[in-house]
Amino acid sequence: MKVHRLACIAFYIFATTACAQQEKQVYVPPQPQPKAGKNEVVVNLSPTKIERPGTINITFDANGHPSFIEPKPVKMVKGELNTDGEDVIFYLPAYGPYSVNSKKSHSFENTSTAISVDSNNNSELERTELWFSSMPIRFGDKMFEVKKIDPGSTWVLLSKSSAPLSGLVVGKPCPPFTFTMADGKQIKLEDYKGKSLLLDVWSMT
Amino acid sequence: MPLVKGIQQRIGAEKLEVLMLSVDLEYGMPKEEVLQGNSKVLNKRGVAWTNILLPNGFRDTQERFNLDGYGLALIGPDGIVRGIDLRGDDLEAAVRSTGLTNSAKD
Repeated sequence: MKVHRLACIAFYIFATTACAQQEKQVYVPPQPQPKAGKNEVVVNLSPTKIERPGTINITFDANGHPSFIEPKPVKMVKGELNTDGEDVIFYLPAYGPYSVNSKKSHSFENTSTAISVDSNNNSELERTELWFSSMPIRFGDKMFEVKKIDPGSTWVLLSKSSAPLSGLVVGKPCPPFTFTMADGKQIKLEDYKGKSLLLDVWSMT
Repeated sequence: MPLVKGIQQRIGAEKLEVLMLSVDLEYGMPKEEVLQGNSKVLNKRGVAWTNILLPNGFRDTQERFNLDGYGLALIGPDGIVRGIDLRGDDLEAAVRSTGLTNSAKD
């Protein structure tokens, strides 16, 4: 537990997340594009000069003391998805191996490929724009699932997700939420209509 | 917390509300202990903000809001997200962007 918490703290301090990959850049030939099925879309990927901070490696010695290995920037490829008339640009690492599955959803344990959705189109891939391909991703006002990524980094297959709208995106509507308090009372986004609301993610520890 | 408290006092709680999302259950503490501990911290700070105990900690913040760490996000009165991971001057600027000004009482 202690080691786990140390890893968590370290992660948030050094919070420049990305998936655990891209240490070795091996050329893989592109695979033929699949035919998009119902509710699916194939998005072409193109090379860019944009980079994203790489993986933070945390190792522990015999006494449980952590060591941090400075991440290397990762080159990215770019995709563009039109959803409801809005062009949404996203980036993923230019080299695999890619994965769209992860047994864990926590960002510091998620082993699936991280996708940056550049919602503000400033070509700066901020931590708050990072999503994991094992989970539904918000593109504009729609949720999509990543079905497959070409090992040769030339396309990605997405499908419309039935998951409810989730994820905060600056300039976009906050997804609806309902929380149950300890006394059983429910708190909803609508309760704050007409007021500004600060969401504060915190812990006392 | 002191910065947020100051901003809210300046603007007025009727215009700017704060919803605390506690991830303490992430760390394996018993729920009752977390409830008491959270209340103690909020009382000590002199704030009466609604506090939600997220059953799955950061997994909940990630799945609902795509937030994987501590921090503040601002939603405007129109329901539009004005800022994520806000601190210091960025928080003040985001609050101003919603059109909020100092309370008439000041």
